[in-house]
Amino acid sequence: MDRSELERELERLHSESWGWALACLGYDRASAEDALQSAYLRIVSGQARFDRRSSFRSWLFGVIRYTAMEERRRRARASLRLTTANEGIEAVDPAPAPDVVTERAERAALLEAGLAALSVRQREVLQLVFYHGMTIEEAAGVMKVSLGSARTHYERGKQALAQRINQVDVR
Amino acid sequence: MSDIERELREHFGALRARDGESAPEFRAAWTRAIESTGARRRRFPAYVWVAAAGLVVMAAGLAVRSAARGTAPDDRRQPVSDAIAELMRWTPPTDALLPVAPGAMRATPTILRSVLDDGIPLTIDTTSLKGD
Repeated sequence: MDRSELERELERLHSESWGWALACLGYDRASAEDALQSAYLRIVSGQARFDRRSSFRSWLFGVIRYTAMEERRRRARASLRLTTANEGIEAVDPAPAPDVVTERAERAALLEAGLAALSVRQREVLQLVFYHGMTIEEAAGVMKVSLGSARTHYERGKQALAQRINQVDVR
Repeated sequence: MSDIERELREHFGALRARDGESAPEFRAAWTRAIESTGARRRRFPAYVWVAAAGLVVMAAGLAVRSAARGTAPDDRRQPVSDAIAELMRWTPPTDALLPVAPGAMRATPTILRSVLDDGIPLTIDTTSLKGD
């Protein structure tokens, strides 16, 4: 795949890639931006090469996921060094953002909070299936787990997330 | 599709729409990535030279070390064996004064022997003493 073709494909999937980077990094916008750019850098420099063993999107999501994991580790190390005094404060704030006024934004914030309570694997498989419209098999490929394992994460995560959303909705 | 799945799909749809609005521009991210690649390439030769120089120094060090290891044992062993041979050949300068054969003083003395032995022939079974 030459560079112009690569660029076209990445541009086409940019919005989805952004959503996936956000999900991989717990909706931390700054980290997601860094991770997405690092993923593009990895691709354009040839560090990550598309070998056509899967779909381009699955491969791209795998690169973003890997880069996001590195970014998460880097941020964790940095925050450990800088904020040891703030121990006990939760890293993820499940409260909706202040500019969330529309029903859609409220739903999104509710979902975001629900997702934050799930395990990483559950969050990933639900994001890939419901947000990106992948099959569980494709999601398993991106997550580098077996299909059976992905199915288990999917079922458990789905139940837990629905329960959490409904609990908050009732309050 | 179950009710739960339908409900989750709606929520994820809302999340997707919200994320889409806040997505950074592709062109800017892509250009930065390409620029970073250029910067990385410019830095690359310096790293290569440093690594190559390091490898050469390491290889030279290993070669010198292995060469030294190959010759050292013989050099060290030779003086020791010479000294042992010299000791074995040594005879005390006073040996000539003794009325015994040279080296006899250093020989193991005969056990249970006396000057009277010549007068009284006596045979002792020395095998019974073994192990005491």
